[in-house]
Amino acid sequence: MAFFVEAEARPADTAQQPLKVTAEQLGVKQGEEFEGGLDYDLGNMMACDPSPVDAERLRADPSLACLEMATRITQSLVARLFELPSEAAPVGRIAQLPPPTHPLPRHKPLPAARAPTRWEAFAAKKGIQKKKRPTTVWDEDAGEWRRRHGYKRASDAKEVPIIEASAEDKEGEDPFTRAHAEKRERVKAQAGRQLANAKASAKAMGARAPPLAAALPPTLQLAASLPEHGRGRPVKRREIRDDIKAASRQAGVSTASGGKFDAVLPGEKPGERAAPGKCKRPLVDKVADRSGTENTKVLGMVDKILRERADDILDVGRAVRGLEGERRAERSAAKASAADADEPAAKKRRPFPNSTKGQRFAPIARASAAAASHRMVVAGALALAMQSFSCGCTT
Amino acid sequence: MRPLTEEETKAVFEKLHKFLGKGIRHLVERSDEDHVLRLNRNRVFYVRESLMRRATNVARDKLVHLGTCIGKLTHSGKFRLTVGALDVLAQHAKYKVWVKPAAEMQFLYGNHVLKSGLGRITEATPAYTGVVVYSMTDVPLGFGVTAKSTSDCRKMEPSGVVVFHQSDVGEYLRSEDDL
Repeated sequence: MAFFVEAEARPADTAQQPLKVTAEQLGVKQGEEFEGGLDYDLGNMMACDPSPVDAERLRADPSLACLEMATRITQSLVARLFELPSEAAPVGRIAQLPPPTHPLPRHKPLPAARAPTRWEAFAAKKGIQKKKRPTTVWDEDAGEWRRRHGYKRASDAKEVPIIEASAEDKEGEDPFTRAHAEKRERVKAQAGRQLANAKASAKAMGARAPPLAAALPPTLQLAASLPEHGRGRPVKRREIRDDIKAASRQAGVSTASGGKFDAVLPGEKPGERAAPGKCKRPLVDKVADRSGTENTKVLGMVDKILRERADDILDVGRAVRGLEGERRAERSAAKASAADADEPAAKKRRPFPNSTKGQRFAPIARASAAAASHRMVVAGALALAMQSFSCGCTT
Repeated sequence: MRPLTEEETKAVFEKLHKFLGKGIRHLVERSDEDHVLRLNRNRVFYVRESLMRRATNVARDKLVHLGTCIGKLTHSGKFRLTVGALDVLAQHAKYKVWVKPAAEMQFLYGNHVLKSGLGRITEATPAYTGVVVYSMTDVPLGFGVTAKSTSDCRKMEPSGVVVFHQSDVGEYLRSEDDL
């Protein structure tokens, strides 16, 4: 409801006309603009003076000359920026910058395109075009359209009910196992071809090759990073150190027992051979461990937990209460002194003559009575002990 | 039976820290024999070392119980305290709540502790911390989590929840098979 009332109350002309303010009203003095032509690139907010530099002026006072030039060029640039068409926004006025004209250099070189695979090279040579295959295929046996790959696919090789015998079949051979074995061979061959393609691509592209960690295992990657025999310059060990490490780690794990029982090589750290990953190993390897390390490990963990959650080292509430008490004491002292100043005018409640209100006692003083009595008790006990001791000594 | 992994041990002690605070050190550093944590199926047992060594002679699927079962580890690795931990918690509890005799039975049936049933509470108990619930005769009844801090408890209306029930001694009868 308030909105409607406001709209009606506001006169119509002020709603349409924006408020105009001049620079003199604001008290802003505009600087001098740069004389001479400037190359403006408003998209990059850049202004460039293409004329040759005044060497005399620069030599005389370099910093002042630079400052003057920069100030004037900046003033011209800002004047141009403010001439751009702008629209109102809650934060102020917003102007849309034109697209930049100056090309800025790249920080890193363009990524190299992937080298073509063997098939891609062959297809390019023969002029074979890529044909887009539809995702669904007509399955005659099922009598419906099924997807080409995936769940309930058309003519799934695993779902063949009967394989008819042919003249070439050997006796006693199971056609289903044969089909399964053939498929495995095909998959293996394809994986080998993919590997060869990745290796060739790494070799062809050299330093600009994208990381092949997913495609190539570390041992083959090391082989790819080495130059061919008799070609290129000999590679230094520290350049391919990461490849060597990765390959060594892989080779160490590639035994029948996963590298568990092989001797540790000189220079190899004991935990290096294990494949990096989240290993959920218990605190002690043996259930009934006799070495006593379990207790120390658990204690270390407990101490760490306590350290992380130790919020009672500083009792914040207590500290705040202490601070507040001090402030109250200060205020009461100030009031007391003010009351002393204008005594007849303001009849303020004064504290009692021996009052200790608002004062803070040192802990030692407060505990003095108890401490003194405690000390006396201890002294008495010590005296008795000394007596008995001396008696014992003499006898 | 197997020892716990580092993550599992951390989960157990972090949970216990909510109830015991600095007292978790007392569980590890004991004046009498050393106690260890062992896991069988998904139950975590707090057991002294000599007993644990003798239990290694029992097959895993035949081992039913060992020492004190303080809780269970869930499938995702989180630790949940069960009633067997009450003995350990009551010894070193940091924050305590005493319950009036009238509200004792309510708590033992699994209900939360209301303000009307609250007898005493430790000073400066923060909200959402673990507390051990006692009867007025100082018998530990169970444990739970505070809903409000001590100062807020005083301002509450009588039917408000003060302590959320987590586990109580009545579970020995109610959920005998679960333990």
